[in-house]
Amino acid sequence: MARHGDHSLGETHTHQGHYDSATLAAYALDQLPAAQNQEIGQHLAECAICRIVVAAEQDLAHSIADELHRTLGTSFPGPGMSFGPIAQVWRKTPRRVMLAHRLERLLSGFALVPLALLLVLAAVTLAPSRDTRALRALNVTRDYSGPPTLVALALEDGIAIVRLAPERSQIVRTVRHVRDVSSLDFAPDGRWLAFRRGGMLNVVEIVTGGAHFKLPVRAAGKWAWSPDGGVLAYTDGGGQLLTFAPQSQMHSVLVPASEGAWGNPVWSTDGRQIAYAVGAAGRLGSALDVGTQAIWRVERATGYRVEIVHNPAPQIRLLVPTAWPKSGTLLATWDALTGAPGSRTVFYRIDLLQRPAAPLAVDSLAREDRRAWLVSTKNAPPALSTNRLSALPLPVELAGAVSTHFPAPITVDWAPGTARLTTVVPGQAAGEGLFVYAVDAEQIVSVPLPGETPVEAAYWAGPEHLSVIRRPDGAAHAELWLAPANGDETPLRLVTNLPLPHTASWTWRDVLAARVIDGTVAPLSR
Amino acid sequence: MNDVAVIRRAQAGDERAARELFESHQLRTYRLALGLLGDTADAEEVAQDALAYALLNIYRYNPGLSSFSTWLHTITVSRARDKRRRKILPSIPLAQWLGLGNQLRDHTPGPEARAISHEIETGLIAAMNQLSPKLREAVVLRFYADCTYKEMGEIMGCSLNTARSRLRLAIEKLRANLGEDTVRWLVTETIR
Repeated sequence: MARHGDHSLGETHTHQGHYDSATLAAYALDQLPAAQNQEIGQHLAECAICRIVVAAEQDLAHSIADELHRTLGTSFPGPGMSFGPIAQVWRKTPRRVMLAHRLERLLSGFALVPLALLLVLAAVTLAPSRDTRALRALNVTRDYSGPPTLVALALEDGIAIVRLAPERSQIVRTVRHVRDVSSLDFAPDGRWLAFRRGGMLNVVEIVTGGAHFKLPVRAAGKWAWSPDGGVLAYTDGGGQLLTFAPQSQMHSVLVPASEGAWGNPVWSTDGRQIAYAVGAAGRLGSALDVGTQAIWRVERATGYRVEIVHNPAPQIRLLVPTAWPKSGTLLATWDALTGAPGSRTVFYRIDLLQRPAAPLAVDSLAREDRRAWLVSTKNAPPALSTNRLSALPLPVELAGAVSTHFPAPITVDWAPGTARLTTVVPGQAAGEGLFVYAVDAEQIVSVPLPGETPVEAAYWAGPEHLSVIRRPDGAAHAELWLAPANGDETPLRLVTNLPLPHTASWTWRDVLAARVIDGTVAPLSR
Repeated sequence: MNDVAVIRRAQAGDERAARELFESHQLRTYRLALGLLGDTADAEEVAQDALAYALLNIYRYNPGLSSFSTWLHTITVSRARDKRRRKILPSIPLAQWLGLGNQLRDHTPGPEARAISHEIETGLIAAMNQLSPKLREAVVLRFYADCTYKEMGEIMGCSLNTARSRLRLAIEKLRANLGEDTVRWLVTETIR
């Protein structure tokens, strides 16, 4: 190997006063740090030998560069190199271009302000609402095998109505942007849902998902669906008794405000008459003061009104109708001034033919804020007697309890149109505690539930089914189950994480409603 | 040439801008590939391939990261490496593979082919042919493409110091390959 400059530069700079060839080559190729470059540059000014070596290295580098340019510069590509093939691919759509350019194109075609408005609108429309997020968070069973069932759930910012069916479960209706709802109540046929929100009684249609009616009611207003589910009777809290047929949107004032109707209206079993209380003498905080108190009935078709019973002592007693037996000749009532926690509720039996109000020596079966009684075909409403559930023959003024007893329930609900009630009895073994009492047969059936989660409440979800709420001790969520009333079928868990309301006082009626429906009704049969 | 504006138009999908870029970089890309590979046909193929890739994927190019030339050189070097790799893979003629006989085609160029060969036969290129691909890349990028060491590192996919070392080593090997007389002739020619 003939190395240029090796003759005297193999040693270090410090030893012989010259840089070695490698360092000088690096200098010539501009490969050294600036400080060393400067140092060598100063040395080169004084050292001719090193200067020659560097010049030789630089000359070689220049020579290589020039030769490369000269050689390559004479070469040209052939016709095989052309833009044609690139252009063919270029024209194929879609051509990928930078996002910035896409936006630029878009902006050149649109005015900026309308585009921004469109984007904002899209964001508002497409962003999931709190209601949607809450709905997505719900764990609704996927493998449902029970009868078609509607479940209305009050969420943080709305109500979702879910239809569960073996072939397909789906959300059939959502009512958005409604908070703090209460008293969810399906019509018996499952076509309508009524609920209270603020000063409005809301009625929403489930069949087509379209109609949503709002009826003004005050806080004292109460309502009840007719037995066939076609008409809603309600007191507006201002003295009127009205009916509203959502299908026809027929709205009728049956009792004018001047008469002071209030409280729960009670339908006769044939749906032709409605019993109601009038006159409160200011005791309920109402502005009404008619100076008297009574129970009346009104014929829905004609508006004909008849006083059933006059309260002889409105200062100490406030009679409220609570159940109208099928015979039509008896009416169960209670004294709304009694039944406060720790005190005994006073019930009365009213003979509609003779109109006396005879007290009954039984205690209340609480149905949350109502003292609702459904009376059996034998006119035997259940009641509490000595803290046990009893059946009480209503035709006689005072009768002993029937032989069937079991401990006082924590919740009670009556089956629509039948003389059966469901109760939840505390202190039972795991999976027990849910009972159905058939008043006519004087028979109690235990409805067993799988698992050990305690039962908190039970409501009728149809003539033969119960919706059951179970909550693990101290949990912030609950489970919703559907159980057959006769105990023959296996109970099904519908929802595993029911949210609990954040309000101070609430009942399960404010959280959910469930109704087993006729699966053939379109579009509920979808 | 205002490359930036043309590149922006091409990124927006303008075919004419893409054609402009092709035409302005065609020759340089071809010659770079030729310097890397030493064969005109291979260089043409690699340059076409590199330009096609660069233009059809121009939406990927970020002017903030490197110049368009550096980006295109990187693609060209990468394609040249691929080409070189494919060429050194053992291959079997199709006829042999099909078992149609042992008459293998003679790929050695005849006198006529040799006469029209595009092989670069200068002393320097002959010496460069003896360099390893990486050292050859360093020489071509530095002395033909005028890249800085930083750009060389980016294009070759190595650090700046590695790029320096490769160039120094390449020159030492070139010096050894060329011989003292050729080096002196080269220098003289250059000075003249």
